[in-house]
Parts: sequence; structure tokens; C-alpha cells
Amino acid sequence: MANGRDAREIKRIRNEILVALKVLYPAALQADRLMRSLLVLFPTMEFDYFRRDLHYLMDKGYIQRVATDAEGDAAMTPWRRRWFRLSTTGIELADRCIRDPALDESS
Amino acid sequence: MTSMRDYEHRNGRAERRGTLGRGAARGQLKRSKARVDSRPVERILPALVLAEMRVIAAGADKITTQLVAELDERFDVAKRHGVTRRRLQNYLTRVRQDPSEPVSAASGEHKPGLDEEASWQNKLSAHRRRQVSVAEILDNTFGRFAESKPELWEHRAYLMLVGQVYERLATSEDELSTDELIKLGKALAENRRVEARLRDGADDGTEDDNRSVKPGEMPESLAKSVRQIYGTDLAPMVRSADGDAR
Repeated sequence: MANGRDAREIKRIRNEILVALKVLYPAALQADRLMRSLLVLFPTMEFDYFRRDLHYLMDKGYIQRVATDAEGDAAMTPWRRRWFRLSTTGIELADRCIRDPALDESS
Repeated sequence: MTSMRDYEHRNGRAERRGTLGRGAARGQLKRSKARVDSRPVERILPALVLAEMRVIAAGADKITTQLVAELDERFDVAKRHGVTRRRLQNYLTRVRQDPSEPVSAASGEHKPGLDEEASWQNKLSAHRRRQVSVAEILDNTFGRFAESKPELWEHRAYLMLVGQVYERLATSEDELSTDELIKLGKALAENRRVEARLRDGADDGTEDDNRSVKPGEMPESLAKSVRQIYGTDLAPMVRSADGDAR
């Protein structure tokens, strides 16, 4: 199930997440700020789906969460306030050194 | 649960029955017309909402206006997504009659047309152009970003600021056009070059504005750069960021 979104749009959103994090690499960006910056391109995007995309990219190993000592229990930090950065594989993908058919818009 | 009166109110019928002022009812009709979205319902509503509605529709004997009104009330379909109750009723009736109706647009046969593709490419290239200049500005303002390691979390305020500036510059096209942003990026880059030349020449004891920054410290030229970008003084912001971080 594609969560009510066009498969092409899902790929575009995931790609744009990688591109935005690439701009800041190796620093991290909070999920809320990342999503707001993408609203320019995807005005109807909702946070719940955006969160799933972040989860997907994390499971794929393209992005990683950055937890701080200030977060007593990292699992309790709201998703909007969590920090994410590109992993080494993520930067390779964003730089087009490697390919992932699941994120390739032409496929 | 929605009362019948609320339901009529939203549909403008109250005006005919004389239970609501004309102006108010007209105003409501006008607003609801302005927000109508012409795409297919399954392309507008979120999948979770659609899925829940389909379950409810499957369990109902008939898709009545009352049921549609209740669903609208519950999921805020008309106001939030611009889908009229009539369209919602038609969709749910269709779904109830034929459960194989696509759950969402993604599982349907939608193929983006040339116009849609061209419009996306235009939007993307405009965004990319802006993103590139934002990246240049961030690079020139903050230098190379430190890796976000928890043990260096005194960087938090610094990274927060970078994130804020990125979001602000990448999205506020109304306040600062992409062309202006590109000019600004070039001006900052030029400033950096001049500063670098001065620094090279100042190794013999001249005051150096951009000495190397230790991890967790703000570059001294930051306030100056932000003033150039926003026309405001960053001093109070830097103080509070420092206070938070230490």
C-alpha cells in the first residue's frame, strides 16, 4: 500500500529528503524543519507520511538519527524534534555514486 | 455526532428554512465553493482516511446523506480537503458497489501527463536553483559543518541556527527572490575571498576577524553575515543560543 500517495511522489519526496540533508551534510536537521523546507515542493504533504518516509530511509541505512545526551529517553523525543543526518551510504546515493531502483523516479 | 441542524447549516439549507441568517449561509456556501478540489477523491484524501471510510461504507446498508455528513464531520473532509459531501457520497457509493475500486491513487492507473511532468520539472528546477544558492550562503556563512555527534552537542544551538537559516532561506521566496538570493550568495562569497586575502596579509599581526573557530563556538563573522542577510542584529540571538548550549 502506498499510503494514498502516488508512487512517483513518494520517490520524489524521499529523494528530496536526501537532497536537503545533503546540503547540510555532515550536520543534521530536525524533522520538523526538514519537512517545512519540503512543503515548497509538496504542499499537501502530511507529517505522518513524512515520518514514514524518514523511517523507511533509516531502515534502508540512508539517513541516521542523531540523539543527544539531553534526550533522557531518546524514544520519547517527539518525531518533529528528532535530528537526522545522511549516513555514508546516503551521501553516496545523494551524490549518485550508487543507485537504488526503489528511489529511481524513472523506474 | 452531528445534529440535523448542524448538517443543514453546513449545506446552506438553513437559509431556505429561515433558521439562519442569509448572509451567514451565503458566506458558508461561497467559502465551500472556493475550496473545492477537482481531482478524484482517492487522490485527495489521505489513505488512512480512505481506508477507514471504506470499512464504514462496507458495513453500511446504504450510503445516506446522514452517514456522509457524519463522516465529513469526523474527518473534516469538506473543509480540510475541499471534497464536497456529494462527491464523497458518490465515491463511497461506488466503493460500496465495487470493492475492487482502487484504495488510493497509487494503486490506480494514474499516469502523469506531460503538463504535470513539465510543471514538476519547472518547480523542481526553481527550487534547486534556490537550494544551490542557500547552500552557498550557508557554506560562506557557517563554514564547513561539524559532524553531528552527540559528544559535541554543545553544537546544538549552532546546528539549530543553521537549520533555521536553511529552512527560512529555502522557503521564503516571497521575502527574498531567488535572483536576490543568488546575488547575496555571490556577495558573501566575494566577502569571504576579501577576508581571506586580508587574513593572509594579516599574519604579521593585523587583527584577524575570522580566526579558527573551536568546536562549539560561533564564527565571529556570523552576526555580520546574518545582518547582511536579514538586516537585523543577531546579538541577542547569539547570547541566548550560547546560554542554551552551555
